[in-house]
Formats: sequence, structure tokens, C-alpha cells
Amino acid sequence: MADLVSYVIRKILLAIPVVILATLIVFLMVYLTGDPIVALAPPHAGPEKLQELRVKYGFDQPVYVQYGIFLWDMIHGDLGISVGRATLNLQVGSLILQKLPRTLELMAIGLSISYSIGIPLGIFSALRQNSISDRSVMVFTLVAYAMPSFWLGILFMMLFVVKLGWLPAEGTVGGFASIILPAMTLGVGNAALTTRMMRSSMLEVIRQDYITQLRSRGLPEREIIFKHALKNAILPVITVIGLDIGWFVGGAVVVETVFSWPGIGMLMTRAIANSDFPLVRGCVLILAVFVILGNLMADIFYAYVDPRVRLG
Amino acid sequence: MSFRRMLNNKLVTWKMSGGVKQTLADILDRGTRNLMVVIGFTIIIFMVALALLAPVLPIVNPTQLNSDQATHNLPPSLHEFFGTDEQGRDVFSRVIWGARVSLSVGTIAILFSMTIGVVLGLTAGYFGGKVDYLIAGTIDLFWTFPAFLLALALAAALGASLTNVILAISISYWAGFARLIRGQALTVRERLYVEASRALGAKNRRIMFTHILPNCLAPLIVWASIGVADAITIESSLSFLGVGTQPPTPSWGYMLQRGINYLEEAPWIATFPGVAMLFTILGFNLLGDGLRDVLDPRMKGLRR
Amino acid sequence: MMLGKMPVLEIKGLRTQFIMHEGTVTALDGIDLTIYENESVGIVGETGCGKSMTAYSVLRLVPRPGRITAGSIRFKGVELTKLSDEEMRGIRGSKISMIFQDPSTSLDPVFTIGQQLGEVISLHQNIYDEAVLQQKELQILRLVRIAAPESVLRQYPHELSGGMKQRVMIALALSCSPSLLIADEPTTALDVTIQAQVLNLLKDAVRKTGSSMMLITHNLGVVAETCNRVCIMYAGRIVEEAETFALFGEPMHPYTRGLLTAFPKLGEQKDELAVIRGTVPNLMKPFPGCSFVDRCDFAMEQCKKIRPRRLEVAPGHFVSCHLYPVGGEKSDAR
Repeated sequence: MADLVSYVIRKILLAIPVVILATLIVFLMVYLTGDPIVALAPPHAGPEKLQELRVKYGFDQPVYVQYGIFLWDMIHGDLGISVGRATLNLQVGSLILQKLPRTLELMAIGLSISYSIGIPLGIFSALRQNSISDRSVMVFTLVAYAMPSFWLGILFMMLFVVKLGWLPAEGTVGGFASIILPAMTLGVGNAALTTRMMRSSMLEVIRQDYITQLRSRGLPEREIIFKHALKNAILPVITVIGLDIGWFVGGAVVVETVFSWPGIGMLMTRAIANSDFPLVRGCVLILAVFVILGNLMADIFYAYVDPRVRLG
Repeated sequence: MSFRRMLNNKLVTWKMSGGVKQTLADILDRGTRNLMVVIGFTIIIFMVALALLAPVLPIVNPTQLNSDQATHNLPPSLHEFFGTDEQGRDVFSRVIWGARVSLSVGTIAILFSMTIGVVLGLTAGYFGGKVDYLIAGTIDLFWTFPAFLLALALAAALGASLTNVILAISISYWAGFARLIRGQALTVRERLYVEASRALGAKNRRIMFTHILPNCLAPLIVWASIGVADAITIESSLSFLGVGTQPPTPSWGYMLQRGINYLEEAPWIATFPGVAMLFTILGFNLLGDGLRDVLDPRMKGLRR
Repeated sequence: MMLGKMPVLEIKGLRTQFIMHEGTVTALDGIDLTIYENESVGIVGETGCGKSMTAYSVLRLVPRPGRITAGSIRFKGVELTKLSDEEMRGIRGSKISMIFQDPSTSLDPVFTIGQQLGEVISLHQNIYDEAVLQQKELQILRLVRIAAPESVLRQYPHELSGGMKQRVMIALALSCSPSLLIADEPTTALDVTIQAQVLNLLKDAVRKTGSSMMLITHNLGVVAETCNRVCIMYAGRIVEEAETFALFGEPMHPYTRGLLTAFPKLGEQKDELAVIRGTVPNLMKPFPGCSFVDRCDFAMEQCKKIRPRRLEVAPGHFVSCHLYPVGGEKSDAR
């Protein structure tokens, strides 16, 4: 156990510079937009307002001071003021905080769907390698993977909302009915990845010497597959959780837009449409931190399950 | 003489030339035996042909707006194969022109990515030491960060336009290539014959090209193929969100964005570009996956 | 015939084949082998001659698309080829166990040694009490001379050295006191310095548990150290079988002679290593005569056409070779 603790500490320490780097990149983004002060100011702001903002954000100071102000504000929860039409002068931080739980909800359900489909399907496919069932599963994953999330969402929409009328199109209606479609879109899309990963991992494990060894010890096949092979095969799949979270965050932005789901993705899209740079920046930062945290947790979980990793 | 035999004849001489030619011959030989590769390649050729020929095909101008309400949202017919959209534009034509946009963005972005990645990877792998440490750290950073998110942030900051999209994708995607090249370069670096070559006075550049690149060729092609598929996905997603290609340039993503509003009355506006998009992406994925299975099944661990 | 000893394993006419699109590979082509109580029999041959396949066939673990297509395997009077899967599982690990060649890939990396030992013991001996289980685990680890067995129980395979892992493998195999232990190249993957240790340990442990051993190896030195009797295999057939010293003293089959001369001996002056010319035959092509004919310096006409029968040329010494003709000698019906 001690090696696990030291691993966790090491990983956390490693993650900190990454987060800092992310903040730096986000900070520098404003310089891509032309005159930075215009991007951060409400529309139609007069020269006095602009000057006021220049001082507030420190644009009259050297770059590193500006970065310092940025970080300081950020630590205190101040991510800037929104300059979008509907959200003028609201705190970016609080806007994001409001919507964050909705996105988390969506991602959590999406992840569960992905893994509850992907893992069994992958195992099933691996155990029946090259059979018709296996080949159909592979075709399914190929097609599902090639579909961009928003198109899958649109397809689901066409099927369940328009054709069948079972579910509402807007996520704002609330309740299970409105979350199921966007979650399924994310879930099914990612399930393709999960299935493939699980399948190839399982195939790899079954060929190993220790599996034959276990058979020679007289263990029942069921136990060999579901206790030993599975535990070994699931490890590479877990490492992919980190990458999956990245995929989910990107996918969430798109899917929320398709279904008007009131999460951070929707917030960000609206902000982009409104040229609300401070809000966009805030969203990007939160999403980046989210991805980094997600990777960190995946790493820790992996080390918990596979003791060999703790030495790394 | 069957195609197979003609191909084999050609390949035999290539295989003997060694180096890049031999690797290419190997790829062609094994690739053409794999169903996924053949199907993927066919799809790609078909779409590329469509895209290239768009200006000369007898199709309607895709950007021609039509204020006559009667021509809006018409279902597919003999005249307009895919119907018209909410502005009266011919969907069929827009889908074909959209192919042009998607494919060019995809291929150019990946070419840029590849260049950046190869250059950085070679530098890191070849020089080693501090240089490598720095570059490797940067690669890791860009690698773990989801490409789509980065591209979105960049496109949002830079403003929406075709060139910005290409730029955004290039910057988000180079890490994969760099990793590949760097890995190979590091391996080759350790191999004795590079030392021997250098002992004989061979120039650095020559070493890099003759020893490192031929080994990377196969995985590079695989990555590039999958990369184009990803790039097309990213471009469509960006256009869908409004930060990609702007109207009036026809883009599949944009068409889908508009199409959502008319799912009930005019589902063809969203369906056909979607199918075209799926078809193209599938083609590149098939090619990449097929080649990967054929060339080195061990690569399955990479990324997917 | 060994007087006064019961046969633990009797293999007669065993044939194992792999039936594939491209053709049928005959990995084992009519093997006859008997192992008695408390003895160690070595099976020697080059890579690919079928030694491991014999082991897999006994345990009925032949990987697909392979199958046992003919012959009988009797274990203590029970015909193994006729048992159901469940009955066979009852035998594996408890009455017949196997150790594999490479210890580093033979242990499940995500379970501790204790967990893996406990699994086998509780499965076959129906013990579920934690304390009793642990006692037995410690006991077996001490048998294979592992110092500090309590800490080893808590460790994972990757934390142990090669030699330690192989001892654990031996412990696992002997944990239920099997009547037959099959050891497939148990020391090949180990450092030379550890090899002797592990071999001694193996000999000792097997004696203590009263098991017989089938030791598969390509190394004649190992055989000399540990086995009472030796079988020489070539291309899926057993070509010679004798007590160890008899075989080394008077090798009869040309292949055996070739093997022994190829093995450089201490104190011998040699400029070149002797080799047996040629390569192993393609097991996909059936051949009517002796499988060694293309490489044999003594090949005769009939060697190409007629398969030599297994004859007892001296007491306990069997050969399959036309150099030793039928008639006057005691012959074993096949």
C-alpha cells in the first residue's frame, strides 16, 4: 500500500505543472484575438471603459504581471466578467459553476453507458473470435466510431424524437427523458472505442502462458475467464479512461449543442456565437482542468488495480 | 494477366531496391490483400475524385441563394437529387462541394501536422539530451490534451475561417506524429550501424533519412490516414458549432447545423451531408485500420 | 518390465494432430510411454519434436485446432481420453500437474502468490478456512525451500526473481501431492547458476511428495542429473528409451548417438562442434518410413519405406531402428 501512496503523491505533483501550463496557454489565448482589450470588453464600450479595463486586467503592465493578476484572480474564483448579450456583467465563474453539474451528469451517464455496453461486448466478441457475431460487432464499432458525435445525435433525434415521438428534443425539459438521448449519443459513440479496446486486450490475455498454466491447475474455465483473464484484460481499458474523458469533454460540447442541454458545452457554444471571450476563456480553462484531473484519477485508479504500475 | 500478377511483377523489382522503395512495395503488396484496405482506398479515391471534379461536374452552383420561397425545402427529385435546403440551394451540389472543403481541410491539416510532428520528432530523437527532454515534454502535453478541445479553443480565439480551422487542427494533432517519429529515431539511434555509419563519415542528414524514415513509413501512413479521418471529424464539428468554415462556403458540418431545425419537414438537408461525411470518414478509418492490421498488429496499442 | 512397481502413466499409440486448411500436422505419431511410481522419466529432443505436445496431450490441453486422434492414455488405470471435461479438471493440478518453461509468464501478474496458491489448494482439497489454508500454503513454500514464506505469500510475481518464481511454480504444482508432475523445460529460462539449485530442489521435492516426474528437456545434462529413465524423441516419435546410464553408455539409435557426440564434454579437445546434418522433417507431409532417414548416416533402403518397430534390444532398453532387426529379440507389440 505504501507504494500506492507514494505513486499518488508523485502523480499529483506531476499534474500541477500541467495545470499551470494550461492556465498559461489559456492566458495567452487572448493575444490571438487581435486587440486583447476589445475581446475582454463589453460591446460598444467607450474609451473610458476600455481604459478602466486596461488597468483592471493590467494591460498597461508587462506580460508577467498580467499573468500574475490572471492567476491571482483565478485562485480567488474570479474568471472575468461576461460580455455576452444575455449574460452581460455576470461573473464568468458563477455562470460556469451553475452549468457544471449538468455537464458532469451527462458525462457520468454517458461513461456508464459506454462501459456497460463496451466491456461485455468486447469480452463476448473476443471469446468468439472470427465468428459471425464477432465480425458484426467489429463492423458496428467501425461504423459507430466513424460517426462524429453530432451526427449520431442527429440520427437519434430523427429516430426517437421525430419519427417515434418518444422523447423530447430539448434538454431543458428536465428529468430522465431529456438526458437519455444526449447521454446515449455520447455513450454509444464511446462504446465503439471501449469495445475494441476490450476485445483486443482480452484476445491478448487469453493467449498468455499463465492462462494455460491456470488450466493445467484444474481451474474451471469460467473462473479463468472472468476472474483471471478479465482482471488482466481490463487494465489497458482502464488506462484509456483518461483518454476517454478527453473524448467525452470534447463530445459533450458538441452533443449539448445538438440537444440544447444546459451544460458547459452549450454555454461555451453560445459564448462563441456572442463573441463573449471572457466566458469562452473560462470554459476552456475549466474543461482543460477537468481533463487533467480526469487523467489523474484514471492513473491513480489504474495503479490501485495493477500493482506493477506503482513502480513507474 | 490478372491484376495480382501485374502488381507482383512491378513489386519484385521495387523490393530489391531496398530503403523506402522496398517498404512501399511491401505496403502495397500486403495492403492489396486486405479487404478493409481495398474498400477504404476505393471510398477515398471516389470521394477525392468527386471533390477534385466538383468545378467541372454538371451541377448547380452550391452557393446560389434563391429568394423564391417555393424552391425552399424541396424533397429529393429527379432535378435535385438530394432536394433543396432552406435557402433554396441544391443539396446534392452542396454535398459534393462540401466534400471538396472537408477533404482539402483534412489533408492539408494533416500534412501540416505531419510536417511539424516529423521535424520535432526527428530533432528530439536525433539530438537527444536536453533537446529531447524539452520536446518530449511538449509532446506529452499536447498528446494528453484532446485535440478537438484545443482546436475549438484556437478556432474560437482566432476567429472562424477555413485557414484558421486548418491551423487549429494542425496545432492540435501534431503530437501523434511526433511521438511516432521520435520513438523510431530513438530506436535507430541506439542501433550499431548508425554508429558505424558515422564512423565512416556519413552525414547526419543521410543517416536520418536512410535509416529512420523507411521504418517510420508504414506507421506514418496508418496514422496519416486515421488522422485525415479525425481532421474531417474535427472540421465538421467546428463548422457545426459555428467556428469552422463560414457560409457561403458549403461545409457538411454547417449543413447539419442548419438541418437540425428542419428535421421534421426536410430531413434530407441533414441526412445527405451526414451520410457523405460518415462515408468519407469510414473510408479513411478503414484504410488506416486495415493497413495497421496488415503491417504491424502490435500497433493496436497506439491510442485506440 | 519394472518388477514390483505400478505404472502411474501408460501411453499407447498416442497420436495428436493439428487439422488445418493448409494440411494436417502430425505432432505426435504413435507414442508409447510408461512411467512407474516414484521414478523420473526424461523426454529429450530438439525443439519441435513434440515433447511439449506429449505433456499437453496427457493433460488434454492441446491447443486448438489440435486434437488427440488416436491412442490411449491411462493414468492409474483410468482412461484419460474418455473422461469428461469436469472429470479432467479434477485431475489437473491435483493428480497430474505441470510446470511450464518460463516462470515469468506463467504466473498471473495481478494476483499475489498467496492468492494463487490458495486458489489451487482450496479448489482441490475443499479447504475454505483461511487459517488452515495459509498453513498449507506456508508448508508447501517451505518444501521448495523458500525462506521467509510469509512475506512471499503477500508478494506479486513481478517482485520475485526468476529462480524464486520457478520455485513457486513447483510449489503450486506439488501443492496437492500429485502422482505425476510434468516439468516442461523447468530450467531453460533460468540463469545457469540457479539451474542446478532448482533441479536439485525439484528432485528432492518430488521425492518427498512421492510423485513421479516427466521431465521434458533438450538438455542431456539435466537428464543425467535427475532422471531414472530417458526417452529420445524425434519428429513426433520415440526412437529410443532406456535407463539413463544405459542410454549414455550404449546409445543405440543413430539420432541418440548424434546427440551425445554433439554435446561437448569436459576435458575433450574439439576444434569443431559436431552437428547432425540436415533439418527436422516437415510434419505436414506423412512419411511411411523412419522419420530420421534423411539425416541418418546408416540409412538403408527399408528405412525409407517401412517404419521401424519398437523393440526391446536389451532389458529395459527399447529402440525403433532397422539396424536392430526383428527376430530373436523380445519385441513389444505396438
